[in-house]
Amino acid sequence: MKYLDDHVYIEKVLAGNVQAYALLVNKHKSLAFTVALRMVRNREDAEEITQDAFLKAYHALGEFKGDAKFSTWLYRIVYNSAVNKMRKNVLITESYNDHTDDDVNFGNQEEELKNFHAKERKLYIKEAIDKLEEEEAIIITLFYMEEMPTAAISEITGLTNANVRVKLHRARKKLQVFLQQRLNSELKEIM
Amino acid sequence: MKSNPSNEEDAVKRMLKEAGLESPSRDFTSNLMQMLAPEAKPKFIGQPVFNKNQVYFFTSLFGSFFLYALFSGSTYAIGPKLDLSKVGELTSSIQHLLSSPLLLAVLISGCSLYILDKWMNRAVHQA
Repeated sequence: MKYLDDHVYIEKVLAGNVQAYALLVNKHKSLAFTVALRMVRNREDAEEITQDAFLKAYHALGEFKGDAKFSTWLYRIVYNSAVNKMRKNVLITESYNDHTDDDVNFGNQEEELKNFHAKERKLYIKEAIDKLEEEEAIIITLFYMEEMPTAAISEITGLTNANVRVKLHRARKKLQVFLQQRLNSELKEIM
Repeated sequence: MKSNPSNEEDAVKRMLKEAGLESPSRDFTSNLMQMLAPEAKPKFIGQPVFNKNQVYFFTSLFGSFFLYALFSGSTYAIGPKLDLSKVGELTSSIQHLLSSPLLLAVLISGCSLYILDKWMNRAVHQA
């Protein structure tokens, strides 16, 4: 489905057409949910955070100023809600740095690569993203999937633009190292 | 061998696009809309014309003028003089009307019903 500009839906909602908000939700729910999931690493919590973020955004829609993009504003709400949730849960997450090579069970690599399918490759990529630190995972998701400029990412995460660039570079390297280990010959073929 | 950074970038981009975005549950939107349905549309928050200090200033200014005019006892007027005797006649006729017990009962019951209606409406909205 092709969506219209966010402001069209926002104006309709503010004029009393509540159903227009459903289109705005459908347009942004996947990325909002992905951002939350990259942070909390739990689907139930991520869904709750996304839902709360959309509710908060709805109630504050009257205060939303058109000078910023709605998506940036929404993802910032999602990001902050996820940070708060993480603080509450005191989640202990593993970072890629904590791993040694022994942690990854490669098994028979030859055999594994032989049976490589797109579905498995997809799983490996998701696994690799999960190995990143939360902020790195979000930055890489917003930058490559949403093609968001680093300035907008800095607005969402509250990090400086330079810091976002550093984390982006670090995340890219980590992803490559991990995937090179996992997809050895596959990755060489792509590159 | 060193790999080309732009190729690396493209490869990461391609891989991430391939992995795709995560999706919430199927009924996510409908659940959310159900939560929003009973609520009114989001409030439009407007900017007041006068700020609090200005309101206090004008209120006290007009209040002091009124009190001065009421208690100064001055008969001097800048504009044409007002004949306030008509006001006195009107007040006495209202007093006469209110002294009728039937009219007083109608007024009191009307006011009570109005207040009760407002109160019930608020209670229904809060529930």
